[in-house]
Amino acid sequence: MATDTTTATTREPRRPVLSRLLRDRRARFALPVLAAVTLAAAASPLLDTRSRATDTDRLLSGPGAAHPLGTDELGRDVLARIVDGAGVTVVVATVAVGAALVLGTLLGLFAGYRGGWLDALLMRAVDGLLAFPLLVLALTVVAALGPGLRNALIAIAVVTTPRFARVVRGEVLSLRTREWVSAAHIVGVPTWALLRRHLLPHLAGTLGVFAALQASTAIIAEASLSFLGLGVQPPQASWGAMVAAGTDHLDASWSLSVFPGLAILLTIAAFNLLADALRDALDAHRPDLDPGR
Amino acid sequence: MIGYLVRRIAQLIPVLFIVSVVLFLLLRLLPGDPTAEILGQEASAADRAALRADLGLDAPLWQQFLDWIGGVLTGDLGRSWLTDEPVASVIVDRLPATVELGLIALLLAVAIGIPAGVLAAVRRRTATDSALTGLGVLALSTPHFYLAALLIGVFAIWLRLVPPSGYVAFTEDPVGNLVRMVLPAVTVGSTVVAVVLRQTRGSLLAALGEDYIRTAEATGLRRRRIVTVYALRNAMVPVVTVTALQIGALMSATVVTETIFTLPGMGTLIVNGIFSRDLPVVQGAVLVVVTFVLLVNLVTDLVYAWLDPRITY
Repeated sequence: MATDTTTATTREPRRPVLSRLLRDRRARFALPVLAAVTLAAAASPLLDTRSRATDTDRLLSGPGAAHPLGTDELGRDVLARIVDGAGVTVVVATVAVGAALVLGTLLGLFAGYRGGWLDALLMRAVDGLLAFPLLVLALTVVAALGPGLRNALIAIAVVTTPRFARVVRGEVLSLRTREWVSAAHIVGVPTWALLRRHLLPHLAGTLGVFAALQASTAIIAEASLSFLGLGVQPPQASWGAMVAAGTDHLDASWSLSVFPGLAILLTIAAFNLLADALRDALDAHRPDLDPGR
Repeated sequence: MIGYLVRRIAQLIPVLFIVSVVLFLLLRLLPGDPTAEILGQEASAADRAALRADLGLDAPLWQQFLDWIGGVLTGDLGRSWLTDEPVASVIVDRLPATVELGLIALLLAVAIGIPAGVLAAVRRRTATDSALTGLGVLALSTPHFYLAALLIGVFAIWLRLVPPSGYVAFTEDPVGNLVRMVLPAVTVGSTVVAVVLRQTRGSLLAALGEDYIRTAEATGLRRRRIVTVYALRNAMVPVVTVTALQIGALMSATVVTETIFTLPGMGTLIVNGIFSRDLPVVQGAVLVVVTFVLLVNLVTDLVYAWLDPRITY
């Protein structure tokens, strides 16, 4: 491949994944955004509590010096509420997606490696769950458990787990036939160790990309549930609920739903772009779709 | 082909069965006593017990499930606990708004997404490509309820071009209906447009890299003809599939969008059913939505197999 040797010096395919990722423009946007959201979530308990207090003298004021992003329908500072809401978003992306990642990976590993009737049974259950449109299933789970953040997290974990299981199983099915897996099996490596030490490391890249994508989906789902009034309950701040409050006062204050919505949009875009950048960074030798002209 | 069709339909049955079990069990987890919701908290224990018997809630779970599934198979989805109307007829009333919303959104997405995707592919690695691809990422990252709020703010409240919400049936007032459908359809279509754009760009670029395109170029055909006639035709097959597979996402989007624009569709039916704990309505509506999604996926696979003669079944 003559063309590859000439581009190799600029592309440096041997660079470790992290440094390739850090040189990617999409990651350079995504990582600071996600760091800011995490920082906001960590900092919110330290914030001056007066700014979140309700104040009838400053209802629905637009952005100004005292309140950079204005105040809401109860006179609370919108910026402070957005900082508070960051916590919910971080919890959704870590706890709900994390639980789905662990559970889905275990199910997928097990089903894919064991095969047979267990695999068939698990995969039919996965098919059944995946047949539900995501938000419709999340709504059904919330209908069963009742509204609230904890139940919204459970709902999101329930809708996300089968997606991880499906992806992991697919990867395991293709890895299972490789020679080094058979070799490990023949020399007597126990199944559990084989899965953990030999198969799991190969899944890390795929799982990283998929988790970033699922985090963006999960954040949309939580925000949508909270927007509908079925997720985070007042007075706790959630970006989705803030947009909902804003839509009730669109004629009085344009800014009320704009800023929390922007926070959601930036976070979701960051996860989507991070997933794209990570995929490319992991996959330096991927044949380009470029026709090469 | 017939064998394939039969096999695919046979595969659908266990999935539908699992869907109905999951749905039934989930909704039976519902905390609280539904009879208290219907009769009010001060109803006597005897009244509530009578209602429980009336609604069949005192039967064992498996029997309740068999009763429900037996009804479903004969087209009887039970009665609303709130209004006592047959659930099936409530759903039939609600379907037109959702179907119309979904169809207009899909039309918009295809009408904008395919040309935009072709443009991005043809102008690959130019400012046009970056702008279109960037817009796609933006559309995929914007939650539907946020886009809806922005659209209402700009077009209904600031510019006063359309009413902020509400619905009139197409048969009553076609113009009024379409005017009120524009913003909801743009909202629902926004993510589909992005998916169509991405897929069109990707598969057109792949098609342009094929040998037969080089041959066509060698014969001196015009670029425009090569793109539209030779490459695009082959590139469209995955676009059709990916678009049709968006049907699930489309249904999720309509739930939120109908609620914001107060459209009397399946989405508002489900959401209101959850708030009022009207179990049979939620159960029936969700089952209809899921069945619809599964059927569309089935038809997509069949169309795909029919479009691409290389697929064997």
